[in-house]
Amino acid sequence: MTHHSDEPTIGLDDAKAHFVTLETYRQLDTSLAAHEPDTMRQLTFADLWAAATAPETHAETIAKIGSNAKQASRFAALLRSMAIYTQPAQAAAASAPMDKRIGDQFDLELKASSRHDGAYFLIIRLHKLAETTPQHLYYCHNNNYNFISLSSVHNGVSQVMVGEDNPVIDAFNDPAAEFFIK
Amino acid sequence: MSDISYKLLHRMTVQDDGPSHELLDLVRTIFDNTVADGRPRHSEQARQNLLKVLAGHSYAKVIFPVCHFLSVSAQNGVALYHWFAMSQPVTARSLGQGLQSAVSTPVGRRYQTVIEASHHTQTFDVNLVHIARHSALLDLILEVIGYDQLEAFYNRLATAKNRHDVTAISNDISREMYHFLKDHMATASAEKKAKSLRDFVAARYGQDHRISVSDIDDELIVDFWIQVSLDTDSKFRLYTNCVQNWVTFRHAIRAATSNQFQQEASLDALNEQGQAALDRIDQQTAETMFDDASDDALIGSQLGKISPAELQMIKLVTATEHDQIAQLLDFGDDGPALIITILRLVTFGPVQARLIEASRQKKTQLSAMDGFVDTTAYDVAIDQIKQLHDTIQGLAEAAAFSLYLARSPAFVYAALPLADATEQKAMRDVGAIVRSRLTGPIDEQELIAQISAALLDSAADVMPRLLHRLQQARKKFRRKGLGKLPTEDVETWTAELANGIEILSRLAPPLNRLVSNNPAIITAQSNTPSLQARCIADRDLFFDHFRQIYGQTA
Repeated sequence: MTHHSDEPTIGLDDAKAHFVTLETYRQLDTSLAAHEPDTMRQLTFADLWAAATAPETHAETIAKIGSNAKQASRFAALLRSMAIYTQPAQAAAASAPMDKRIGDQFDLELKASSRHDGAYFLIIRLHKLAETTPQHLYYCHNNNYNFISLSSVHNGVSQVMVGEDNPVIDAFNDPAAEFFIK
Repeated sequence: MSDISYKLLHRMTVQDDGPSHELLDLVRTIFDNTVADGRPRHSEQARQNLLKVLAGHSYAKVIFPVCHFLSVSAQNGVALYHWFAMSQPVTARSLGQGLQSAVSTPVGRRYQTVIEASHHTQTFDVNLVHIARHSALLDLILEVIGYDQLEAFYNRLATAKNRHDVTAISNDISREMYHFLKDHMATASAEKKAKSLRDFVAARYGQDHRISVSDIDDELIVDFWIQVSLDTDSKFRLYTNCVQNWVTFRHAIRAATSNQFQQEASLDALNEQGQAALDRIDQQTAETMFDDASDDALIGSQLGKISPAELQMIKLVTATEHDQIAQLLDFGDDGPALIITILRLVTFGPVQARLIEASRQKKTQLSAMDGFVDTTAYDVAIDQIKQLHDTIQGLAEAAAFSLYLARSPAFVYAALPLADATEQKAMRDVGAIVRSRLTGPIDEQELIAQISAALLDSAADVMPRLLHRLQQARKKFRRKGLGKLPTEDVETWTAELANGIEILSRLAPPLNRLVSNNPAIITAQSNTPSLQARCIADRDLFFDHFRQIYGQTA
């Protein structure tokens, strides 16, 4: 069949290119509509956000993040971005366990309980108070993320008691560890 | 016996490439995202736009204005995560509020949806409507390149001094997307099919032929199938697939002949185009490629919402009717011109499916094939399409009568398009009378409620013919949930009826166009050979070819 003289025409290659676009759209649409019950869900930004804002209820997600270098890097960037205060890795490695970590925005101090019962006090001294109330101390140690819920802040100081096996103690003693407060 | 099975053919033609599971999972997650109160984060348009942008590989020209938006945001100190953790759905207004609440030195603002901003001496506008329309793409960018990398780009945008800087960052982001999508959205299968179709047209009309929609006619489609389907590696062995691809090719020609769409915009081709031009191109692209060119196909996408599997309280179309309508709507605007192809498809498509199934089970039905298609099959098929149309219309009327019995205000909206011109005027007059009796200002919703009540009270006088028709339809179409007011969840029942009526009303016209006053049918029925003679000739052609495809292994 030959076309009517007033009918718009195009070159074959243009038609071919447009066909590919429409066919790709159809493939996408059809594939999305298909039920995929067995696919393993990937971590997305929504998961990172949930873990950052409500870590108590997302421990499993935090563990998953820690086991995936790409997601860990994304999570670190998000935490840094959301943090009210940050304390990056310490500049020089210390040979002995530290009792203080000094930062530009806050200092951390670790004191053993005077009752020698294995408990430690982690003392956080904020250099400058912000409008937002700090809620969690996050730390990244050996590419693993963890957090501690903070007690209320009085005169720029918050104090948390932890057991001697708490991983925050190892993190505290590792100059490469990073701490965030949000 | 041939080793071909329907499932194998299906996998060969549909699932051998295309979007990866990873990409599909990401897109599904983005589409399912909700804000705190459960509303979807992205509008339907934003979700559709993401698919369109991915299919057209046109993300670069969307990323460019998005980068301008992010640049304004970054330069005003808004944290990047703010845009991905909004408590409201992404709209122009919510984006504007996000910017306005965060900026220390407010940017210029007009009409609440356009932000005026500047890079030192260069000023520019950011159309927040445009950004909101592509919010799902922004989320995909985040998931693909990650918060860490996107924040690095964001920090660069914070210090961008001019359009050139923004362009460079936009191109970098586009490249990241390109690298991801080249692995996760292969188009080799679509391109291979496109080449087959293109080459066939070129062989038929010449390499330099400028093609028009009417070049792709019934005879070209069947000739192509006859030529390629004997090849066991062909993507077009199944006549149904063959037709579907040629219909898409017609849509592609229609789109290409009526637009200024720039296929696969170069990553560097965006530097001097203004926002207005980008908006215009984007709008035209979307309308031409996917909306205008296949309006009936879009209606087809609504069909799923009234499938038996989707509806809870009522039943409208049966599963069989649903599938038959879906097959016809796939033709979109091209249905009337390709009516002979439709008749061939609905007549011989099922025969091929049975042959494939028999072949899969190591049986042959070739000897019994003659009994599958009667010489009047095409006339029967036309009658079935007419019947399908009448069923659709009748179901809409029966559903409308259910709303009337329930005294639902939704009845008025449903009834208006179903009434004839005289009764439509009478209904409007009732509205005018209610308005004229108002003594003071009144809430719009209250006014609608008053008009609805007045119309329901006077329906027997105002629209007697319509009511009679609706009542008759209800008697004829006794399907689940029609007619009887449910004892619980009346809201869902009403919503399903109201939505169902709207969708059914939109389905009826394209079906009607296929068989009513269709010049192709008139010609086929009045010319020589007659429709019956054509059916016999086609039966000989298809059956002979089926024997060649499946017979050698019998």
